[in-house]
Amino acid sequence: MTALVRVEHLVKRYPVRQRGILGERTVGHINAVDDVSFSIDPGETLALVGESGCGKTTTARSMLHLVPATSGKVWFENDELLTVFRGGDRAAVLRARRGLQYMFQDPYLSLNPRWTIGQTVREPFRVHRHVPEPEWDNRIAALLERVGLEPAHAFRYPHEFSGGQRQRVGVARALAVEPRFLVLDEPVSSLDVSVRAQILNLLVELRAELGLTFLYISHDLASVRFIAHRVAVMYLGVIVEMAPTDALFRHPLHHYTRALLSAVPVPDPDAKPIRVALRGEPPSAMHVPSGCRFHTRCPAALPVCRTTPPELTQAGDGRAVACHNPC
Amino acid sequence: MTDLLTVDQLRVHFFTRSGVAPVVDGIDFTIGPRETLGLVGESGSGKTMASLAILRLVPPPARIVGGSLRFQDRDLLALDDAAMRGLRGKSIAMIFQNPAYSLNPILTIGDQLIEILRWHERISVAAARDRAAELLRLVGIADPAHRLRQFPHEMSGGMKQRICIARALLCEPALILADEPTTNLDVTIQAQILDLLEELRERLHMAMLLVSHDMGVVARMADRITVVYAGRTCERADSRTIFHAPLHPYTRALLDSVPRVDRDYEHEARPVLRTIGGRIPDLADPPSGCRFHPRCVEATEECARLRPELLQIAPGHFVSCLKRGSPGIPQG
Repeated sequence: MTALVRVEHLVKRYPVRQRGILGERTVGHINAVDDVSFSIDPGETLALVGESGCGKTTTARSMLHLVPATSGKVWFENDELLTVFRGGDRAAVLRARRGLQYMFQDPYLSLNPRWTIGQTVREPFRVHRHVPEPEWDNRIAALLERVGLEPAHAFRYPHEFSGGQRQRVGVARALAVEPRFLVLDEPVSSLDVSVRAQILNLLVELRAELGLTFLYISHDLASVRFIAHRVAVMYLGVIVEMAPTDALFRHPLHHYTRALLSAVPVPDPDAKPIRVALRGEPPSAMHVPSGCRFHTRCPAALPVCRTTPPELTQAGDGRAVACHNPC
Repeated sequence: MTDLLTVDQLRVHFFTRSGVAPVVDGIDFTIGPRETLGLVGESGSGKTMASLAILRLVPPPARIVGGSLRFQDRDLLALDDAAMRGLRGKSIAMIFQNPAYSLNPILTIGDQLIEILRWHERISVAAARDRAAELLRLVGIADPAHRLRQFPHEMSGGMKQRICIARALLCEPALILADEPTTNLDVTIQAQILDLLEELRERLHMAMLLVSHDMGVVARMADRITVVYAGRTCERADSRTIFHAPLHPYTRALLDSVPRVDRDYEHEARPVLRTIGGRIPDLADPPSGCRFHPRCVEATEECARLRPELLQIAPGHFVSCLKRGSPGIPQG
């Protein structure tokens, strides 16, 4: 099967600037994303997990040119997206954007408060003009119904809706251009438990019915286990492990993955998890440790870990791990 | 065993121009010495208001309008303001949800900690500084002397939460109120903070009220649990009973709607979580009868009419649901 999306050697580097007497100067760089590669098959959901600052959101935003990548390639079928986006040919950019859409984390910040829901969902039709104008209203009504809202909601404003309903609007807006690929950036993090389940079910339903492919970004590992087919774990800008979901949760190979999973509290008072406590906090991205980035906190670090960065290498059964001394 | 804290039929109402919203309308729990009680509910359940009420810190336009709060055989609602100030931070201390907002950004960590000690005890600045440094070490902060001179913005979220825990422990309180203490933290940092809280609670013989919406966190920490919905107690029991033999339909639905990190969904063609239909009610206009009835799968006509009272179904296991035999009070 050929991949729908392929990311190759993606790098996003930010300059760190400091103001001195001679004006601003660059004092260093942060590699928020440092040579990340992965691919996603049609219909598959890949989860990108890791703690804040690990580069998961920057990876996704760079893929869609919401932040310009420093280098690397993003293939969507046979098109290299970053070249298209940088090229500035509006027709080509719009064509590319119709294939992939981004759904944002915060339903309170990602909807224009002065637009009705109808205006918000109409905007993609207005920009892309992929549907004749007389059909827009019918399409908008159908979209709202598809995500579990009512057509009459088109006339209301975001403040009249709960967080869960707003997130449904976000889904409707993303689906308006009939994309095949959706980036879901923490879509349920700000929602209450009972509402979170409704949105997760909706996403799984849409995936099956519309044949959608997802990149699901989250730090909530229980929701990842629920929705993802495959998981990539990031630490300080690099992927340290990638594996099918069940295999990863059952038997993590990287010591960071293991620590991360063991830290998730299980809703069962009798659960006696094997706790792998991590020392300290993730180092600052300004001062990435030499060798393996995780060696400063790793319980199984060897001398080689301090000097040589491990490559992400195949470990059988569709798994890959970047570790000199895997679990 | 006498209870350290008894909260009985607590009621806190919001008085707004458009009417009265009963945000806490009958929440009860007790906490014994050295015990951890989990107070569980979603947003709008009144769990935060209930914990603030214990310190009599509910913000206007909210007011405590009924119920009783007893702590170490004292009626907290009858204490005068001076006595209450003497209690806050001394016998009952609080850890807030967002450490970034609960530390003063323009004072050093040292100033903030020393002020609390000198408010409650006759102690010199130097001695207070030593105590503060000792507590920072206790919560796992390296180089405390240096940290005491720093400002909150110079620290990570996990570090700030450790500072807040140290601050709560300064006067060795008998009871700690922790309102979503790890909600904004990454999961490995959350695990560190939960470990720390548990260890300190045992070492210092404290009791803890843990307010949370995260069933995983509560399962790990709590001895007993009170589940609240829309300002009222649904169910109270020990932790095992709540997780393994819940009776209230809301408790059951809440547990079922959480994806399990210990279950394989990858090999299901189309995994489905059980959900609770509808949405959290607007408490300016709460549902009649049982507040959960519009979303309850078992609801009947009488659930809309009668308000269920807590019924003790087994020793220590209370439930308020007409379908489980709770007595109902007609509502006009």
